[in-house]
Amino acid sequence: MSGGVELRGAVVRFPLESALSARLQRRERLRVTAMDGVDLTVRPGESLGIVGESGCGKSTLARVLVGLVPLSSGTLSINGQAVGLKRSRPMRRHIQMVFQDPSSSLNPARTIEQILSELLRAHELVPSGRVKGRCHELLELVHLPRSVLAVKPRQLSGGQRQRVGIARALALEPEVLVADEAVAALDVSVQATILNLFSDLRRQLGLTLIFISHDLSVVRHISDELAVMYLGRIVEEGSADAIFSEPRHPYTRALIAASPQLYESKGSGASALLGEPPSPIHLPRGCRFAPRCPIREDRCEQEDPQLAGEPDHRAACFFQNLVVAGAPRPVSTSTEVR
Amino acid sequence: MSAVPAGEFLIEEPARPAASSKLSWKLAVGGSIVAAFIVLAIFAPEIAPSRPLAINPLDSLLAPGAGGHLLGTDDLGRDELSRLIYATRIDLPIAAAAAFLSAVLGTLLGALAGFAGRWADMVILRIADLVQAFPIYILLIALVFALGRGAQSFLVAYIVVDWVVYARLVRGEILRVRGLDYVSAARAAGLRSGRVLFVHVLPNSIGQSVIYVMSDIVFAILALAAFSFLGVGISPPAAEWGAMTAEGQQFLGVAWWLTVCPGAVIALVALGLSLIGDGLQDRMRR
Amino acid sequence: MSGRPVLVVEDLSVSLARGSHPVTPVQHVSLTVDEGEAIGLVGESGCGKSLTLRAIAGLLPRGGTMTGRLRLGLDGGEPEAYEPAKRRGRGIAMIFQEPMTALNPTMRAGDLIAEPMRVRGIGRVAARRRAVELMAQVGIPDAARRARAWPHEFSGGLRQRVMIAAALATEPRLLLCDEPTTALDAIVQDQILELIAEQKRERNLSVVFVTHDLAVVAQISERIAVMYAGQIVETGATAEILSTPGHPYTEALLRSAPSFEQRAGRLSGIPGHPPDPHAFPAGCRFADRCEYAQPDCRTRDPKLTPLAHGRFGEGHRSACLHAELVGAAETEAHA
Repeated sequence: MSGGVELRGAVVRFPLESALSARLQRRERLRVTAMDGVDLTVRPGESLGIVGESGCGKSTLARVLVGLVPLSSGTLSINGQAVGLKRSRPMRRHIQMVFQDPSSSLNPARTIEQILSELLRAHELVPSGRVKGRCHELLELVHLPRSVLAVKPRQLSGGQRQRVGIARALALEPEVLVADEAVAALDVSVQATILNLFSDLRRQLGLTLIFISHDLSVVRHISDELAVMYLGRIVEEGSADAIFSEPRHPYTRALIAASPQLYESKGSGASALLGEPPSPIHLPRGCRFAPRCPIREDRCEQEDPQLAGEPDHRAACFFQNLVVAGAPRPVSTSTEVR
Repeated sequence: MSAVPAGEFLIEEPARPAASSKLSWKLAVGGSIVAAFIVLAIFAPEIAPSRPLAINPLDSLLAPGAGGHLLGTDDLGRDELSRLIYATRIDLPIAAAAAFLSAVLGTLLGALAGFAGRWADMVILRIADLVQAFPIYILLIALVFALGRGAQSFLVAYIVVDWVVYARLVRGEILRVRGLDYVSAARAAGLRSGRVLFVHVLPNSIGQSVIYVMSDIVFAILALAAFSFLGVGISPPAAEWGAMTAEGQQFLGVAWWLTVCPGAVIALVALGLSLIGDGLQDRMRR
Repeated sequence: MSGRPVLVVEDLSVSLARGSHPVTPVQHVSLTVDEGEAIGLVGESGCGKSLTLRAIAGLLPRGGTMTGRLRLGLDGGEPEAYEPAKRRGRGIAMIFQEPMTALNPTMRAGDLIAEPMRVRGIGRVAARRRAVELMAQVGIPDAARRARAWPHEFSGGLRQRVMIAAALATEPRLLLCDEPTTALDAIVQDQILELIAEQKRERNLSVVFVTHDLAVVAQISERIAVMYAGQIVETGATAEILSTPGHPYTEALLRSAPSFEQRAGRLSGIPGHPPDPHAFPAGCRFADRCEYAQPDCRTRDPKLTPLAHGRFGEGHRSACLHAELVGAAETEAHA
């Protein structure tokens, strides 16, 4: 079975200024480190959720996987074959992406038929007589009527556009589907139907699904495995059930506590996290979560914890036992940002 | 396909109807004005009452209405109305060509700047800065002096100065559109850069330029008129609105119609083109 | 909560002039906010909740007109009619969704907060001192120094705090919130919600909180008003509505929201999409998408009426002709 993805030591850095500007100011060129050493193994047919807040690197990770952003160092393999930014056209078919914003993910100047058939023709997937028929099949997969082929994106609702985006991603018959916040811009009622669609398609087509989201509830619903990212690193990974029932990293715990829940009344100050995320330009030494961590000790500021634990549940924290035991405790009244 | 619970995926028709093809009044009125001028240009020999170059010294400087001349005659007795009509054959094509060719050159360079990489961008921008640093009319006149008078030199001079606007407009739009998800999707699907540029990026980046072409034609007419006024445009005795205005100024006291009429005609064409530009902009904003 | 009304909205409709065809995205909305109470105005995109808020605040877009009666009772007396556009900044304050665009980038944070006070006649020095106090109260660290910082130097969460401080600078009795946490990450969102709740308690504020997120509204409001297609379809106490919804739309919305508990199985979305405001259907506007729809739902206009006691609690109203059917069918029970 194919559809496996592997990342080893993936690092992505973007320069913030030109080399000349840095030299004139006599300093190292300022870069933002979007990904700082990510190891990821996705097995064929797996459903992996990647969560984290903005700036954690999850969107960069998505773009590295589909070949839109180059790795500064590290390797990426799909189906055991190493791939980079410049990958061959057939190679691109293995992994495709569904984008977040329905209002900018489809070319407004083209009809749906043009959008879909363009890919079919460019990759010569079907003989030209069969192109329209294949478009019909793709639309059927995402439960859209054939009449949609003749219209332009602005005539479709957000949910309909997302379905077209999914159909487009599936046009190349990929084995791996990356969804980058694919439901974040949708109303809750529409979100639900699209999530169901993802589940159905995954089962139907045997896809490997990598679902990126900032919304823990969404990821909880659709993913079997989970990876939590913070400042360019994975800080906890494992089976979603294990992580949700027993988070082992203080950040994960805070994230779960902060997610608004319909039926559980939240204690005040449920998120004991303090402060704002530090800048990805000047990363702290040692554990990069330490500046905000309520249970930090001296060791955390000197050493950088690696992922440790069992094969199906690992966290990058020296004090996992404390987290499991219940720390950090919610801070009761103060909401001050320290 | 697995059984879908009844009612969960209603087969939905597209949510919004196609754009209303109701023609806005601006496009209708502006379009009619411009169309009328085009008709005049094409059928000038049939429509004009007399030949534009026909000199009649005995009928010089007749007021509008006198002797069957609807808009009077000039100092050489030539029928003003006929000259105005025949002038469309010079002003319109030259101005349209000037604007259109500037647009094409500017769009290509702007696309290069926005899409081909930092070096192309820097080089093209600096050249644009250089061109814009010169006072425009002085540059135009210098070029025309160097190239001699006539339509071709005017075209060259105009394009050399005017491409910059389009280049900046298109470059700005391309920089914005480049980052949109549908462009990323095209790249992720392995489409070639050329195709991505011409099918996905460029069509969505030229909207502003298309609207600007309308104003640009007006600017070109005015520039041509100014040139003729200064004596470096189209040579006499050809009928051209600017030249007519220039010649008429000598007789402002006794024959006001020789300056007012060509001026009014230029204003009317400008109005028509403006309305079209506005109408297009409204359409695009929807 | 004293039960004394601070804001009374009666039969509010908002029309927007759009070329030749004006559209009325908000129709006959009525609601009441009591002193010290937070009411959540919930609905999906296009339901009219933001426009309703803007009508109350006097911030309708150009071409927008409203009909209906708005009454304000901020000083403890009977609510009296007021002119929303003339009332801004006095007693009513508003905070907005996008932290990146809600602050004037050419003004320092302290000046932004001091400005509403300056407009009311407070002197420069006193206003600035008060601004720094407010910044500290909303949890901005190092307030004195930060007061001189520019908006772009703040992160999203801190900008929201600055916006809240500016809103509180006018000592409002009523705080209008237009999705202030939608654009924020989960942890920051939680902090901001906590902050709003804390300020509400300390100052006995009344709050109208517009959001599309039922879970957020569950956290911050005592009462909920659910909007659909320009109308309020259900109101009641938060806990009551969440456990026993009285309108098919609310019920469907609750079932669509993924939660940590409901793990396997399918989420039920709502098929179809909301009606076009240019052409609202006759009868109940949700009928086309409603699983309980009856023949008369398409001919009779439902009005917001109190629900019969029994299953439903006190003060629970719904605009459904057949509210007794809601929830009677088998639904996946939440823990």
